[in-house]
Amino acid sequence: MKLFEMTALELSRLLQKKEVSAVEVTQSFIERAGEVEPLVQAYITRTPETALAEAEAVDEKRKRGEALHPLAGVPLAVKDNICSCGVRTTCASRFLEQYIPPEDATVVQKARAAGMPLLGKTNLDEFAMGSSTESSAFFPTRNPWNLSRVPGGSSGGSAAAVSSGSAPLALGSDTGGSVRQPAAFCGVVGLRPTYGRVSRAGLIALASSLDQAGPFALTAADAALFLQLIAGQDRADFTTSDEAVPSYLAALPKGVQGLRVGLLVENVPDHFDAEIITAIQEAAKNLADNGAVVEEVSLPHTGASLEAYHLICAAEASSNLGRFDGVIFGRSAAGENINEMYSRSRGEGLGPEVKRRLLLGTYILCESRYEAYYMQAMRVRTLIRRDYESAFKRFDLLLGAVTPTTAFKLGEKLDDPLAMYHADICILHGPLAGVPAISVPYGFDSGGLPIGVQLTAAPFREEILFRAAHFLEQSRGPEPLRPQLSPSGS
Amino acid sequence: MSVEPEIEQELDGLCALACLHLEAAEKKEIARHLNELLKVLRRIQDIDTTGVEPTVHPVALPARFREDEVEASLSPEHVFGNTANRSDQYFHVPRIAGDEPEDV
Amino acid sequence: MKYEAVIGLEIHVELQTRSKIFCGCSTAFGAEPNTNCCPGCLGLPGTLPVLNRRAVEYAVRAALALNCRVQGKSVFARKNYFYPDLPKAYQISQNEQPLAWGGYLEVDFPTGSRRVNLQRVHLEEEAGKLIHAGDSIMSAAYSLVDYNRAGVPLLEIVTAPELHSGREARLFLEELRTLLLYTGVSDVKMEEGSLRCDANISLRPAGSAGLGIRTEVKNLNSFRAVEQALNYEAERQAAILADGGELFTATCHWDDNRKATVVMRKKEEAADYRYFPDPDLPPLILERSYIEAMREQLPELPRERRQRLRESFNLSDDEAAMLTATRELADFFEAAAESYRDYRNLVNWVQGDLVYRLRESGKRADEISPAMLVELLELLDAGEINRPVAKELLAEMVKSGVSPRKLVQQRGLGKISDQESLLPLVEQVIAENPDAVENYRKGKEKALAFLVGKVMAMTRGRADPQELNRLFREKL
Repeated sequence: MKLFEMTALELSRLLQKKEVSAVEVTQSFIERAGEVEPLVQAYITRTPETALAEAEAVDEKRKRGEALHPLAGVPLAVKDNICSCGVRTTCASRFLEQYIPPEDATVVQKARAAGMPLLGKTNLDEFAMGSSTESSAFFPTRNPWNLSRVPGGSSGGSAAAVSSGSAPLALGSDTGGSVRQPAAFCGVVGLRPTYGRVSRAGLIALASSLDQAGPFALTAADAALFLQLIAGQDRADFTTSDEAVPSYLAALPKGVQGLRVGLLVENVPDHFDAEIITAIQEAAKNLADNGAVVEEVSLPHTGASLEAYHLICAAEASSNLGRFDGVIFGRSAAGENINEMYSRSRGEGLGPEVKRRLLLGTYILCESRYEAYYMQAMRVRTLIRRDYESAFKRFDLLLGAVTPTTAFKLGEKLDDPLAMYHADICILHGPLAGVPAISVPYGFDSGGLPIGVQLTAAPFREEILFRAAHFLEQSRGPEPLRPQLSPSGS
Repeated sequence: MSVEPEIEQELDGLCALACLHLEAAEKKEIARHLNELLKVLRRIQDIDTTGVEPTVHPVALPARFREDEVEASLSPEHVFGNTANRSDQYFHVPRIAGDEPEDV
Repeated sequence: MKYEAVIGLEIHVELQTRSKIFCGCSTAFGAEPNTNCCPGCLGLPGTLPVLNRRAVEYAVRAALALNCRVQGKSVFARKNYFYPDLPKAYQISQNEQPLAWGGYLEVDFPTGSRRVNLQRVHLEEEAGKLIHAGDSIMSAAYSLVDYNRAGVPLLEIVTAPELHSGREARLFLEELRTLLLYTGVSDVKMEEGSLRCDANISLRPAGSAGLGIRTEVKNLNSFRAVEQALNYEAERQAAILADGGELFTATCHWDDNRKATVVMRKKEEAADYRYFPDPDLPPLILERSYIEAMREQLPELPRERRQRLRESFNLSDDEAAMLTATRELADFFEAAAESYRDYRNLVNWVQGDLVYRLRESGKRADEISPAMLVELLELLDAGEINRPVAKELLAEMVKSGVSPRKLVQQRGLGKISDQESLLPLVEQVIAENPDAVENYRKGKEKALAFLVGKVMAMTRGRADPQELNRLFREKL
């Protein structure tokens, strides 16, 4: 088995036993990227020199016998809306094409401090607004399972990088499903942590009350190992929680015996792909056969999650993206006066989906509409949160779909924002309630595209997610899923 | 398809508030999309939320403070590292009073 | 018709924390442009606000001193607008749920003492500083921005429209300034911009209760400007009404050179700031016990102190106001009065020479030892130094901090009354002034005064005149 085919945990063991060097591991992923990137285009910026230098430093330290983090020498890809000191961070926007952050995001800083070489920055929908990575201002990323399909979004680059073997682990961000949906489309594990579990400092904000950074990995164990590193309270982010971080890996072997699992009735309506519904039913049966108690559960207000989510997200985004005005950083157009300069810098630097959402957010935050739109959305958010709270009185875990369909074709929904928003219908309500959720690969459709199932737990109970996800992986077979990359697709 | 007239009428005002220049063709397209979206999003008003408190933060957050201690600031190289609008020690911006009538 | 002006003030006070409200950059005034900046206060992508504990403490202290109802829960909100001094295109402020509601300040107006009610007090962040090329923002072809000030904690205080003249507005602001100085939350310098004030002014027929069309007056950079601008604006509005003209809501700019207000723009509809709660910051929760502890820690406030000093030391209103102008000066006076019983004399020295010398040297009263002033006055009272020397010593003492007794020793400034020192001088004067000697011998007492005066001049006033009289009489 080649190094780039291994899980992070396997690499970690080899590195700790000194059977391979960090440079060898990193080199393997760099070479793999050289092969697959022309097809997949997961990265906006690749940083092989930086990665190798960081890997060398890890090898030096290991040689000197220094205590190292288990992930030392395991390289990482980072979504390009997460700041990396000295490495340009674009948010896949023309506006930030040349932007070089003076500081690392807290999550990147933690990864670098642990000795994880930075392989590069991955593609996304511009400012993380989208579900297909097609709104990237630079190029679309392709699904490694079928190059005519989208990888999902907005963290499509990170999902495709892990799936295609050009990174063993990747960081993404999930505002309304942007980790879980591309994970499902690309057949990898994607976790959205509890709001407040992982620092947002240095994650370029889309919607501050919804954004969370989260890991992509080949296995639940890899995701657990990586979350262990990045979770915790941060002095730079007042919305991080002081809740203790448990040992996630230790929870993995516990199995699902006695777990109370709620099967979401809203998550499998009739117009979903039948194969996805079957996969969820199989997963439910599998859990039940192995000691879990599975019952149906309803979250009645989640029917309004599309409305509540898009109102809140647009409102917060319209304010968060105000700073992209061309004065202190970023694209700056000429103007006769300041307003002309602002308007042109933004008009030229931002893409159509971003403009739509900024105008929508501006519209609903106007004083005359604030109550009817924004506050109403925040109240509906309370109702959705309460739905979850009562569900978690009865259940440890909720099981449902990630997406109504498997990966759709490039261009299919590009001119239909509403259709694009509807593709996220199963993954918008979790963030509104702040709960953690994981997408785990569970079978394929008849076209050979991966299917993901979604597991959701109560706030700060990520370890239950890892337990159940690990169980589903094991019952599916221990080997991670691998696409056969070919230019023609299937 | 029913087109809500209000977005077209308001679009220029919204663009001014959001400081966003749109080309004429873009305007039409965006107005169409926004009208479609709003038609869906307005459904939220049908939900009875009487007596329901709004949720700003989805999970309870502890009270936090930073102590009043001075930390290092950025070097000028970094302060101006991402701008073309540098003029010596300052950021440079065009005329501010552009569209305000004087002495009306 | 006779009109009455109705004035409300919106006041901004920079709190004197060491670091900014939402990041660790220094708040020091006068640093090189754009050197007290970090990714946070520059609003670089990905940065988040981290609230400064002391900024909250100072805000609470000020609100309590202003008799406000400090709220157990307040919420930071974003005020969204584009302006080059605002890096994030929103200001973190408070809107629907401010830090404190209500409150009042008792002010001595010429017409008597009156409570001026406040509407609210809230905490927000300061914007950067704009420098306009050319004379004003209007004519500037471009502007320069310095973000050192961006993120300095700012307290906004909004009064009810209960002031009725420029003079009243000025007196209110001066009283507010003294109060804030006492609480130690700000240096409250209008000239450095750490105290700023915008005013809303409208007219109504005297005696009526409604509110007229109002203008907002900006660019009031001194107490004097506040008074002049509001008086000017009241007259301008009255003149328009007297002519049968129509007023419109507007913002105007005080031109301190021309001593006139300039209307900047018609205010047809208020800007829509699209306020909403800042999702980056949890609500600001203040426990009752914390608020009560802060209330107990409040120092004695100027008004109470003025009254107490007036009564305990039998002072006039003006004297009491002068001595309590700052907490440091009042502390100084009271400390000195502990060990020096001639209050009258002490008051005169403090409000006269001491205040003058403090201003001259740019020092605060708490940098001077009250015991030294007492020592100086005791030297004077004991006749060891004379009055001119005492004045000279006071100046020196304020400047150098060296005790008066030491200065007297160092410089030999004490009174000269020993015979060995004086006799040679007496003999010299007798030798040099035969006419006066002659006259004295003829019985002219005035001539003696002349001779004594000569020695006094030679010793720069330090010779003991009584001893000189004795010596001259003896010699002649």
